[in-house]
Amino acid sequence: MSADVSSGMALTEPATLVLTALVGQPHHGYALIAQVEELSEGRTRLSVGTLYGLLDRLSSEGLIALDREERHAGRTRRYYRLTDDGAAALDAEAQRLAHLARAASARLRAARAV
Amino acid sequence: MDATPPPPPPPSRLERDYRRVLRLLPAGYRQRWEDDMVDALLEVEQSGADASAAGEGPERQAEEREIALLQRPPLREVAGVASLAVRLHLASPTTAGASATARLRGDAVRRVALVGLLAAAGPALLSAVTSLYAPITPDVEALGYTRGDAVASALWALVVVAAFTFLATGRSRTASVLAVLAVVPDLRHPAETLAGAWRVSPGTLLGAVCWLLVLLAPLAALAAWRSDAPRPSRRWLLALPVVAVLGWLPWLVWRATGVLAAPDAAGLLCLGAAACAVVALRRRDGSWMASAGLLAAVGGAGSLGRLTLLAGPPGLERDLGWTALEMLALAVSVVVAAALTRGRLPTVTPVTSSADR
Repeated sequence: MSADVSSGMALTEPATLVLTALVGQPHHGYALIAQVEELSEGRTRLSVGTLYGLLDRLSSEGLIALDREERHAGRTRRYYRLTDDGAAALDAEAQRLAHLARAASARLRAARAV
Repeated sequence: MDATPPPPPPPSRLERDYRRVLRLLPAGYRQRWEDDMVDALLEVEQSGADASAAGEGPERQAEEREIALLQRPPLREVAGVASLAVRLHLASPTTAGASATARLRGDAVRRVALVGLLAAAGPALLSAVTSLYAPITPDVEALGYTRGDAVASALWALVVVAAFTFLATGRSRTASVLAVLAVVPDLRHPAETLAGAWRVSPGTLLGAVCWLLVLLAPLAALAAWRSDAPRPSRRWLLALPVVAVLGWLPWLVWRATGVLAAPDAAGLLCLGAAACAVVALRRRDGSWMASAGLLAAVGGAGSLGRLTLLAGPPGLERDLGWTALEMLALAVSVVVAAALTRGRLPTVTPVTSSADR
């Protein structure tokens, strides 16, 4: 079990975005950068160095895994997939964020009602 | 029929330059990720070029994709790789993909930042207290020094105290900003010497360079304090008042004997090196020994620079005792460096618990 899942630690926003991008379909590096930018509506644009630092960390924590390798223009292109631990960590993070959003909305509604 | 796949196209300028940037990364890491990273970067740049020519037809888009390959890697991509390289070379105990040596090196450099800021914050705390509480005598007031000046001086001294406090409590980003702010006034003297390099002697120039090293090395070491670094032990906070009180001793000696022998920043780094060496020998811990070596090298260089020209802050008379002590620290650093090179020092697993730091 990964550290993030077992300890209930919050994922960073880039990590959450990368895990979200991998739900249901393996992706390679560039596709992940593009997906993260799309999911965040342009707010988060990962540099390649940042992405691979993140992939290395998520991979060592068991949240993602290598799906397959392909040759592309003479270079190795790796595809990554979400693991069961990764899906569990993402689910926990989604619930945490949803709870936070509900709490914020409730307080705003209460403040407006006063 | 020949089934050999066609050879890959020759690397573009973008690819060549990006691979050169990737040499900043540790060899093992590069071997694992280099091709993948290059592939991602080329796709990012070519897709960006595609998007910029969207609506202008496929020929124009193909042209833009080719032009993208002739560019240098964007600065943000170079910065991203540099940041990853710092994280991997000066790793924390939890850094994924980092070697044990990089973790030990990271521990050692993070400790250099802590000791460097502590060496500045201790005297600054003492200075702030004395500025606020020392009476302003009529002869000092006659020179134009007012209570307002004393308060301003105390507040400025507290910037570096705050920098150390933030670092010791795990808020390294705020600490870095404050530390840079605090060091700016001290940079003026050596920077002016370097700016007028053509009219000063080589000794003076060497002194200014060494003094800049003393001022900037702890700041550079702050780069090793990243978000995944463990929080320092609370003992570091306790060390602040201890160092401030110890800083009072030279002034007591001065009042009793008339001899002033207060260590400056270089001298304090040398003392920090000695303290780290003592801990290293007690714990047989290679990362503390490496911290001692780094601190002694920087402090010793500052001390040597002062001897050649005295580019340090003017005003304090030095006695030979301090200089001898600092030279001893320099000698220790050389011995430690030699021992590290020959692998004679204990190389234990890097500290993983903040309580050990």
